[in-house]
Amino acid sequence: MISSISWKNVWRNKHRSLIVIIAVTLGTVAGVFVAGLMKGWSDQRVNAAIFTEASHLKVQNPEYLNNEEITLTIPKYENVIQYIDTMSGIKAHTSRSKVVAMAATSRGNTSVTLKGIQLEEEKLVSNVHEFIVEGAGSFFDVTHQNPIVISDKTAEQLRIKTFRITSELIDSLKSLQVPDTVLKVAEEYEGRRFYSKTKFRKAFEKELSTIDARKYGTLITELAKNYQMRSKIVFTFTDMNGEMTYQSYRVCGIYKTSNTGFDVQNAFVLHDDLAKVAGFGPNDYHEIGTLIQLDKTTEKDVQIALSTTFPETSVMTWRELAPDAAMLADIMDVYYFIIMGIIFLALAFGIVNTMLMAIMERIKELGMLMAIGMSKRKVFLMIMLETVFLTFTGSVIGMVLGALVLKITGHTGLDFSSVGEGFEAVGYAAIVYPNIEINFFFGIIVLVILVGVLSSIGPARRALKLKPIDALRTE
Amino acid sequence: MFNCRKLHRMTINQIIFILIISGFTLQSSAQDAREIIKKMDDKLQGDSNKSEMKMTIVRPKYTRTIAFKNWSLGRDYFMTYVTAPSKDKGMVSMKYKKEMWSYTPSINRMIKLPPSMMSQGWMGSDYTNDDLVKQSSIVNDYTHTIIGEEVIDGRECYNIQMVPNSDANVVWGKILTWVDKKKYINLKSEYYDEEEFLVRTELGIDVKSFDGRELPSVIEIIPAEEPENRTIITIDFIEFDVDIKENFFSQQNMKRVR
Repeated sequence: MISSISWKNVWRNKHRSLIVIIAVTLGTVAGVFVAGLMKGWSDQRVNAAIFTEASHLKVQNPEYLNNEEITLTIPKYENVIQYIDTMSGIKAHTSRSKVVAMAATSRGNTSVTLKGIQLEEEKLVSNVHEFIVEGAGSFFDVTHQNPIVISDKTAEQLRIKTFRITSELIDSLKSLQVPDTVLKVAEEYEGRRFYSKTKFRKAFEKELSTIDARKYGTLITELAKNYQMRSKIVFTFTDMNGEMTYQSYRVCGIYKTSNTGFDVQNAFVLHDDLAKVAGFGPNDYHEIGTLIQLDKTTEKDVQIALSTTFPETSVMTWRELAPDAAMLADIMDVYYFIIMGIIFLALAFGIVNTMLMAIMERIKELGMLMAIGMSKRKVFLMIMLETVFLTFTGSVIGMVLGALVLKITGHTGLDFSSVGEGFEAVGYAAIVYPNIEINFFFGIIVLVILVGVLSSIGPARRALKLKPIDALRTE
Repeated sequence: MFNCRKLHRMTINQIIFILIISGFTLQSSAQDAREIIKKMDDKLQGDSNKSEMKMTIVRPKYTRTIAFKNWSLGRDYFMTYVTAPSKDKGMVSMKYKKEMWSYTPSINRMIKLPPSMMSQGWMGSDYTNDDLVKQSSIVNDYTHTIIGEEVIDGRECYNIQMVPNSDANVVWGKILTWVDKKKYINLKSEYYDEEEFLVRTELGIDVKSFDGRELPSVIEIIPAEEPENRTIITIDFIEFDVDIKENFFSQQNMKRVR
């Protein structure tokens, strides 16, 4: 009874109510979208932390964490690996050797960590092999000696990545029916090499008209990107005997993950190749990466089991290895309610204002209702329900729209590439696939009702303070 | 019969003569490229030497000159002491076999350079620490061929192409070097990457006699793509076959040398 009166009251001043409803709708859409974006981001970061970088659990020599010396291999490796093999709930594991080395080409040098991997096992544990740049080689699918997979960033530092216009590029421009003026410039630039994207673009676009530059600049720059496969990289590092040694590798693939920090550091080679020069024995490995079956066991359990059996090793979960990702995973649920809370707080002021107006307009009517015997409790309930209906309608529409937007963007992904370098530098993907859990919507509903109730208190009290006799007399 | 013997003897003489001639030519062609490079290399190194040099680093925004003294023994030991500018005075770098050590007196710190630091330019130049340590392989790590003869600065030169052996840990695709025919002086070297693009040029200018050996007194290194970033080394003085023992190259001595 009261609720139907309240619902009708909402629609007595359609314009005013609609404005509030639209405001709440937009607020909710924005909130849902931002939360979805954050969630998508953090999920991608956590996934990368586990499946690309750290794996669920990593066994290392505890000393290696302080000092990345080549001699600090896992103690009792044989026993550890035997034990892991017999454990239940282990999905896959792989052993790697790690060497901090200086890489040099004829034009550049940088320092990287060489990870000596076991190809088949590695593919089960880490998904780096899925991040090979299109057209830039493969993950060790080669026949040449000493193959190495380096990152796009390392290729840039070693100047293996260049920007150049080749005759094939000109041919493909022709087939794309690029105007002759652009083709002419392209032909002039054929054979010249640039080591940075911006330098190439600047030099090339200088020759073009502004319109052509805007139209074809990005396309040509993208096409001009070139990785010199089979490039030789000479590495210098200290071997197991503490002697400086040299070893050459040839590039067989380029990878690019969403975490530039990871990319800059890691280059992958085959353990057997590395062992030849570094002088590893059959049981010299620096880390064991392990993925577990989360439905059977937890990271914590496996960690405790391993570290009590082998106290001389360090067993760390991805939460310890990538604390930023762990923090994200934990804080996210709280975080998006904070966002929603802020949005609704702002909306609440608008709602209070609207409800106050609605009450001021209806002083006489409220006086009448009280005069014919409507209890204060019912008056309060009526006003409160009116507020809740107002906000609830808006937020339901908002949630539906927001979910729809998330569904679409979650499918296509949101491309932040133009500003993506900054994101990737701190480990976040440039292309985000927003998503949200269904629980979040229940949370919003609770929040909306709460906001409705809270913002009705003020206006309702105002109404309750009215004396029926005075209220009836107002015009 | 006599005639016959005489004829026989003559033939033997002839054969010996031919053998000598052919032996000589065989030897000289084998020596050619590789031997030339070896002689050139030995000439620079000597058994032991002591020298004073200046290195000028030219960058678009600044120019900086460093003066230093060097001591070296064979290919394994090398020590350098910076004498100017005063800010860096007293810094000592030492190559001890495959290790590279560095001593900074202002903070009284002695460190062994880790591989990660080997890639850094030595004292901010176009030479890396790694160049200083590895340097010695130009004879053994390459296949040498004479590809021509040219005149540089009025000196007749062999133009020798050096291609790294497949197992050599060398970053270059090939090196072209010009060596004076008579005095085995390296007058010019061009370093190419694996795609045959020129990476850097080294020029030996102003040949002078140092302690009886003729050497270019100025060496200029020009990166091909950034010619405004040059490094110029001026040799002020070299003394060869000086009395230096292995124990000179010690950590204690790094703190003592002047």
